[in-house]
Amino acid sequence: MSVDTDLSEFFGKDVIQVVSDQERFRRRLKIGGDAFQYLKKAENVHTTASSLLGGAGAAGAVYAGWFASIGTLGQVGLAAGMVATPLGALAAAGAVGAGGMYFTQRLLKNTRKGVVEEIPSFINTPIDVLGTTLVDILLPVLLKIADSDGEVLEEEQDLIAKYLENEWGFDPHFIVGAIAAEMAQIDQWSFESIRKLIIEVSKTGDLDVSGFKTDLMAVARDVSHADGKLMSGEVASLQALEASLELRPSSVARRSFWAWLRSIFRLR
Amino acid sequence: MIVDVTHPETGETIKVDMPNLNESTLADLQKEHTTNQQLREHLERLPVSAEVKAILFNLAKFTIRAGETIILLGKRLVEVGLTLANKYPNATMGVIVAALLSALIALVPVIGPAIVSFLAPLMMLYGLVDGFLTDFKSSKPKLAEDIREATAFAAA
Repeated sequence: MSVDTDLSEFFGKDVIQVVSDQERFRRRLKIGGDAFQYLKKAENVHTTASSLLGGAGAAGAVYAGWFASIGTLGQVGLAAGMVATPLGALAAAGAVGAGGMYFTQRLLKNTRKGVVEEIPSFINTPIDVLGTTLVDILLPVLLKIADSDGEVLEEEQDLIAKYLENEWGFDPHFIVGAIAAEMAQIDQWSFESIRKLIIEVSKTGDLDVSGFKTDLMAVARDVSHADGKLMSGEVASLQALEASLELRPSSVARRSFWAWLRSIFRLR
Repeated sequence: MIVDVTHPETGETIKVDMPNLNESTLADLQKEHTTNQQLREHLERLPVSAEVKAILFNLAKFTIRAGETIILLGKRLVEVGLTLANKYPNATMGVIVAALLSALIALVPVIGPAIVSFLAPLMMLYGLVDGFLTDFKSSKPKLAEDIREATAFAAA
C-alpha cells in the first residue's frame, strides 16, 4: 500500500533539529497562554462581556442608553452637575461598578501571571524557524561581548553553549556548528543588526520581547565576567548592546502619564 | 467488520459497519510510525497556528475499537496528513486533515458526530464551507486521490 510506504519513508527520515528540548524552548519564550491568539481574543471578549453581564452590567447598559438620550447639551450639563436625575445617578453608579469589576479581573490576571508559570503546548511559528532566528540574535551578541577583550576564551564559549542548550533547549550539535559559523564573521558584525531581527520576532507574537531583552542583557553581563575580569572594551560593548536593545534608563524617565498608569495596573 | 466508535466528548458509543476493513487493512491501520512525542515535535515544526497544532494533537488521541483491537485512527490521520503536507508543500496541513475527516464522514456518515469536534474548528479557522471537498477534488486532483486512498479502509 503506497500510503504506508510514504508514511514509513517520511517518519524514517532523520530530521536535523535546531531545538532538541521543545518544552524548555516554549517555556523560555514566556508567552504562556498568549500563544493561542484566537483563544486569547475569545477570552478578552469573555472578560469584557462578563463585566457587562455582572450585576453592574445591566445598570451600565441603562446608563449608556440614558446618556445617549440626553443629547449633547444634556451631556455638557451632566458634566457641570446641572442634570441630576435619580435614574442617571443610579445608572452611573452601576457603570462605575462594571468598570471596577473589569479592573479587578485585570489585576487578578496579572497577579496570577506572577505566581503561575504557563507553558503553551504549541506556538504559532515553526519552532525551528523561530529557533534559528533567536540564535541569530543571541549567539553573535554573546560572542561579540566575549570577543570585546580581544579573544573568545574557551570558558566563554562553553558558558554561551551551555546557556543556549540548558536554558533554551537548543540542540548541542546545532550550537557547535552555529558557534563555528558565527566566529568566522564576528569581526564584521555590529550590535545594530539585532534591532531588525527583534522587530521581526516580535511580529510573530511568540516571544515576550521585553523579558527577552532583559534576559539577554543579564546573560551578556555574565559572559563579560566569565574570565573574572571586566575590561573597558567589554563595558563599551555592554553599553552598545543596551543601546541596541533600547533598555537605557532614560527611556523610563520619559514615560508618559498613561504609560505610568498602565504600568501600575500591570503590577510590574 | 463492525467497529465501536466512542464520541470523544459525550462518551456515547455507536456501532459502525466498515465492510472494507479486513485483517490486512486492520494490520496496516495498527502500525504506529511515530511516538506521541515525535508527533508533537513534527506538529511544532509546521507553519500553522498554535490552535491548529493543538486540535491536530487532540485528534491524534482519537481511537476506535474493532472487536478486541484498538485502532489509533486519529493518530493515523495526523500521520497521513503530515506525510501529505510534506509531499504537497502548497497544501496546508490543517486543510489536508479537514479533507481527510470530511472524506471519512462522506464514506461513513454515522461517524460524523464523533469527529465533528475536530473538523468544525479546523473548518472555522481556515474559512472552509460544507462541500469544500468537492472543490478540493477538482483543484488538487492528485492530493484528493491520495486522500481517497488513505481513507479507502472505510469505503463500503
